[in-house]
Amino acid sequence: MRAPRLMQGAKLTELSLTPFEGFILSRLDGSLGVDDVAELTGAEVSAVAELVARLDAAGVIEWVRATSSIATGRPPPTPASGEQRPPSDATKRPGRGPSDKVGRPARTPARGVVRTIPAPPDEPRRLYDPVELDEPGVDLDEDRRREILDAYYRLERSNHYVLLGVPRDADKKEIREAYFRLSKQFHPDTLFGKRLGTYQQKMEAVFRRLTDAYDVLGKNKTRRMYDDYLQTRDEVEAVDSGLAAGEAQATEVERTSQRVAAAALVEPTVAPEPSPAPSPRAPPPRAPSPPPPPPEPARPAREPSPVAGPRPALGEDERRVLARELLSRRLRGATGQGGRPPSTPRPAQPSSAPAPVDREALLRGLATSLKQAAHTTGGGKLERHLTDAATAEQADDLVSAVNALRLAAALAPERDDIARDLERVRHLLAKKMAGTYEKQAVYEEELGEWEAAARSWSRVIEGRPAQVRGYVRAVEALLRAKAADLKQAKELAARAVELKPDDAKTRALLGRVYSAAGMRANARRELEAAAKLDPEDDFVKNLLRELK
Amino acid sequence: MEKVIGIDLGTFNSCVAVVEGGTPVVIANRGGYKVTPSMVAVTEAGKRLVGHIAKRQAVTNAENTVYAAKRLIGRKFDSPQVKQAMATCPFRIVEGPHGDCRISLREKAYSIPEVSAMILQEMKMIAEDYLGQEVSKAVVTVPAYFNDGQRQATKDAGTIAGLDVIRIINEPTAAALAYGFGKNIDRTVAVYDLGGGTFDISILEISSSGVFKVISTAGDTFLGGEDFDQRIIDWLVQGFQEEHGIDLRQDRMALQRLKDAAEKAKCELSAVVETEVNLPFIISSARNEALHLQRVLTRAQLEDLTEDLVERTVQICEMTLDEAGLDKDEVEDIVLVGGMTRMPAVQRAVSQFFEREPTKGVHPDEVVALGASIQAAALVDDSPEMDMVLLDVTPHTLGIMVVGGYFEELIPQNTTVPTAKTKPFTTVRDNQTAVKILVLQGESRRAEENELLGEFVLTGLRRAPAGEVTIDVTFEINADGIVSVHARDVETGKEQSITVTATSGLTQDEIDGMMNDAQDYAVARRADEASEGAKQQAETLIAEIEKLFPEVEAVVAGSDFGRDAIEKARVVVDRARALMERNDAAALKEQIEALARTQRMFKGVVGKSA
Repeated sequence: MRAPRLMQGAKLTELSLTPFEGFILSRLDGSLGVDDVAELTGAEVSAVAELVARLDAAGVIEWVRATSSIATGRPPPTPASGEQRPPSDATKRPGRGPSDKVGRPARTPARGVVRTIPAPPDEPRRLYDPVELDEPGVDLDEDRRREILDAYYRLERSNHYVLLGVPRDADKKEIREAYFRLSKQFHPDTLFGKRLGTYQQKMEAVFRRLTDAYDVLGKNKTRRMYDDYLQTRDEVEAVDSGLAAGEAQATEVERTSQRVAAAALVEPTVAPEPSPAPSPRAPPPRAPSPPPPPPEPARPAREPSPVAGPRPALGEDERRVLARELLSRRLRGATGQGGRPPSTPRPAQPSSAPAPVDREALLRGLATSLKQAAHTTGGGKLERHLTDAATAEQADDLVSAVNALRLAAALAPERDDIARDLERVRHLLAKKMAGTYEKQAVYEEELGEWEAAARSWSRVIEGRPAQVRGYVRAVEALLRAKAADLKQAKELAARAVELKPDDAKTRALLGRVYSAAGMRANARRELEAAAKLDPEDDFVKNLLRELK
Repeated sequence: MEKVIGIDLGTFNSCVAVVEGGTPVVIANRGGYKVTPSMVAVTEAGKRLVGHIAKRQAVTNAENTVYAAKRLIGRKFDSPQVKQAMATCPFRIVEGPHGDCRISLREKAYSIPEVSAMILQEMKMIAEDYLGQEVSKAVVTVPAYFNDGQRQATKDAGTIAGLDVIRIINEPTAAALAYGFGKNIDRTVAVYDLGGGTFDISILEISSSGVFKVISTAGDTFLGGEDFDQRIIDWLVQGFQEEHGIDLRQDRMALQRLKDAAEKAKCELSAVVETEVNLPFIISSARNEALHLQRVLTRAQLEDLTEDLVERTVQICEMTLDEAGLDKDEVEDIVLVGGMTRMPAVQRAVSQFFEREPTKGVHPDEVVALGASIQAAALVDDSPEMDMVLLDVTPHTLGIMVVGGYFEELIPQNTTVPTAKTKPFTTVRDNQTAVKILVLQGESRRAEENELLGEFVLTGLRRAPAGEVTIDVTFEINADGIVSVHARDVETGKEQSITVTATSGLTQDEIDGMMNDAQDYAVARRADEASEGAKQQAETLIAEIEKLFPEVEAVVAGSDFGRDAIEKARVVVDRARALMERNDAAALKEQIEALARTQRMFKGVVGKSA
C-alpha cells in the first residue's frame, strides 16, 4: 500500500492550512495510509483524503510504499490532482515486464531460509520530482519535458520490449518501426539548436537504451538469448510475486492479532461488544484460499518474520506507536470532551461515511471486532490451509504450498511443526528454482550487472547450500559490484571456507575480501592458510607479500 | 530564417547545395559550373586564386598550386601518406611546428586547414551570391573513414573560413540522405563512394518515417581516382623513358601536364574504348630538341592497369557487409557516388559483387552536397517535410592503452552515436597510486599504431596489491560526435575526465615518449574471462621476471650456465608475449607454467645470493 509523506524541502509556508490540517500534515510520515491518519487524528477519512489530495496537487507530498502500515490494504484515495501518474500496479498492466533487477541490492538470506525478496514490480507513484519539469532555460514545452522525463525515469525498469513498446512476439518489422519511431522522438538532433539543459543528457540516455534494445532484438541470435533471459526472469518474478501475495496475506493475519494485542494493551477493561454491526475500522477477514488475489504483490523486504519469532522490529514499533496514540487519544477524549456516554449509537455506514462518529465507542468497537476477526480466522481455517499445503505440494505447486503453510503459521504461531514444515517446503522451492536463478545470474554477469548477479547467486545458494561454486561466484560478483557489500561478501566467503576448509581457492577468496575491507590481519591469516594449502599459488603469494 | 548550406569538400572538386522550399538544390558557381575544383593557387603578384581559375593556371604555376589538400588534412609530416604525397605533388610540403605538414606557396607556409578554408570560403561566397544573403552556418562532409583529428581539422577549416560547421557528416551517409529524401521508402541500401581521393562504403537502413540509420561503414582514405590517374601517368612515363631515356617525373611542368592528360584520358575511356594522349613539346632532350608524347590508351589497357584498385574496393565492400551482419541479397539497392563510379569496370565490379544493378538517377558529383544540405535543413528546419533524423555511427574503435602497450576497445567501430560504454580496469603494480589514461582511436591491437586523441592521469588510488583497485573508464560520444572520457576509482569515487576536442598535434616521437611514460601508469583490463585471466597472470609473471633480470644477470655473470638460463628465460618471455598478442589463450595457459618456473628459478637465484 502507499502512504503520503511530506516531500523534503517542500515550501509549506506558501500553503494556507488550518492548524488542524497542519496537525494532520505532521502525521503524514510515509507509513500511514489515509485511513490510518484519519483514525489517529480523529478526523474524518473524507476530510483527510481531501486534504491529502490538496497537498498532492500543491506538490508538497509524495507517495511512498508504506513499509509498516496498520492499514488494511485499501488503496489510498486518488488525489484530485491532475498529476499524471503511471499505473500503480504493474501486474495489471498488459504486456508488463518492467525490469527491477537493476540496482536492487543483493541480500544475504538467512541460512536455510528462503526469504524471497519480492521485486518491486510497480513503479513509484511519482517517477521523479516534479521540480525537474521546471528546469529553467530549457526550450521545451511541458508535454515534451514530461515525455522525456517519463521515458528517462522508466529506463531502468523497462525491458527491451517494454522500452520499444512492442509485444514479446513482435516481428522484425514491428521492432524496427518502433525503434525508428522512438529514435525520432528521442534523438537529440530532433531538437537541434534548442537549449536542452539536462534534458540533452536524458534524451541521449534514452536513445542509447533504445539502440541497445534494437541491437539485441534486431538480431535473431541476440534476441533468442535475451528472450531466454526474460523467460527466466518471468519465472522468478512469478514465484516472487506469488510468495509476496501469500506473505502479504499472512502478515495481515498477524497484524490482526497484533492489533488485538494492542487494543487489549490500552483497553484492558473494554468489554466485548455484543453488537454484530461491523466496526468501520475492522478489516473483514479476507478469504485466504489460494489462489490469493494479488493485492500488493510487492512487499518490501522489511516484513515481520513469517516464523512467529519475537522479532518483527517494525511491527513492534508500530504497535507501540499505535498503542501510545490510541492511549493519548483516549485520554484526550476523556478529559477534553468530557466523556460521552459509551452507549452512543455507532454509525451504520462503514469507513468513508462522513457521519459524526463517537470516537470512544468507535475505539471499543475496533478492539472487539479485531478480536473477533482474529478468532474467526483460526480454527477450521488452519486445517484447511494445511490440507491446501499438502495438496499443492503433491501437485508440485510449491509456491502455493509455501503460501498455505505461511498462513497456517500465521494463524498458529505456537505450532513448531508447522514452522518446520514451512521451512522444509521453502527449501524445496529454493532447490527447484536454483537452476533458474543460476541462469539469471550468468546473464547478469555477462551484462556486467554485478549487484544483480550477486543477488541471483545468493539465491542459488539457498537452493544449493552445499555447493561451493555459488558462494564463490556470489563473492566475486560482490567484489566487482560498484558498491561492494563487503560484509555480505565476508559472510559468503566464510561459508565457502566452511564448506571446503582445505581448498586454497576459497581461503584466498576470503583473504581477498578481508584485504578489500582493509582487515589486514585477517587477510594475512587466510592467505597464509591458502599458501600452506597451495604453496605454488602466485596470486596468493603476491597478495601476502603485499600485506607483510 | 537563416539558410544553412551543405558543402561537399572533395579531394578534387567541391560542391555546395541548399534546401529551398523543401527541395535541395545544387548551387552553380559564377562560371555556371555546379562543381568547383578544390584547388588553391598564389600568383607571382601574391594574388590568391581558388577553383576554376586556379586550375586553369596550374600548368604554368604548378609549384604554387595546391590540389588534393584533403589528403593531407590532419596528418603528421612524417606519416607515410605525406611522404607519398611529397613524392608526387608539384607543390612543396614542409614540416610545421607541431609535426604537422604545411604547404609552402611563394615562401609562405600555409597549414592544411588554412588551404581548405580558402575552398570553403569560395563555396560560401557562391552560396551567398545565389541566396543574396549572408551565410554563416554549414554542414560539411568528410570521408566516412576520417578519424577524429581529420574531422576536427575540417571543422577548424570552417572556422577559419568564417563558417560555423554545425555538423560534420560522412559522405556516403550524405549520399544516402539525398537518395532516400522524399522517396518514402523502407529499404536497406549500400552506398559505394569512389571519389577523387577516397573510397567509402556504407550500409544504411532507410525508413519511410524519415530515419536514416547507418549500420556500418568502412573505407580507405588513400584509394581514389587519383590512384587511377597515377597508374596512367606511370604507364606514360615508363613508355617515354623506354623511348627517350628521360624520366618525365623530374620535370614539374611535364608532370602537371601528364596529370591533366591522364585524368582526361581516364574520363574519356568511360565513354569510348580508346583515346589518344597527345602532349606535344613535353620536354627538351639533352640535345635541346623538343620531344612529344603521343600514345593510344585503350579501355582494356586501363582496366588492366587498375584492376587491383577496383578489386580492393570490392574487398572492403565484403568486409563492411560482414561487419553489418548482412548477406548480399539483403541489400536492396546500391547507390553509386563519386566521379570514379562512371568507369565501366567499377560499375561492373559493383554489380557483380552485389548481384544487382546499381540504382540510376543519382548524380554522383552532386549527391553528397545535396545530402549535406538536407541534413542541415533537418537540423534547423522545423517544417514537417524536413522531419527526419540521421543515426550515424562512429567509424573507428575507441579505447585506451593497457599494460603491455595493448589497445583495449571501449566503443567498437560502427556503434550508433550518441553512445556511452564503461569498462572496469585495474592497477598492474603493487601500491600503484596513479593510472594514466591514454585515449586512442584505431583498429590495431597495438596501442602505438592507433591515433592518440588525448590523455589524463587519475591519481590518489588506494595503495593495494596489483589488480585490487578497480577503475571504471567510461567513454561517451554525444550527438555532435564529441568524445569525452572519464575514469573513476570505484572505491573512493575519485574522478578525472577529459573532453577530446582538438587535434593533438603531436609528433610520433612525442607520442612514443608519452606511451613510454605511460608504462608507469599502466592499467590492465579487469579480467572477466578465463583467457583474460591467463593474460593477466602472464603479464604479472613477465613483469616480475623482467624486474629480476638485472639482479640475476649480476649474480650469474660469467658462468655459461647462467648465460644459458638467461637466454632460455628470454625465450620463454618472448614466446608468452607472442601468444598474448595472438590471443592464443590455450597455448598461453601452458606457457604460464614455463613463466612460473622461470620466475621461481630467478627468485631462487636471487635469494641464494642475498
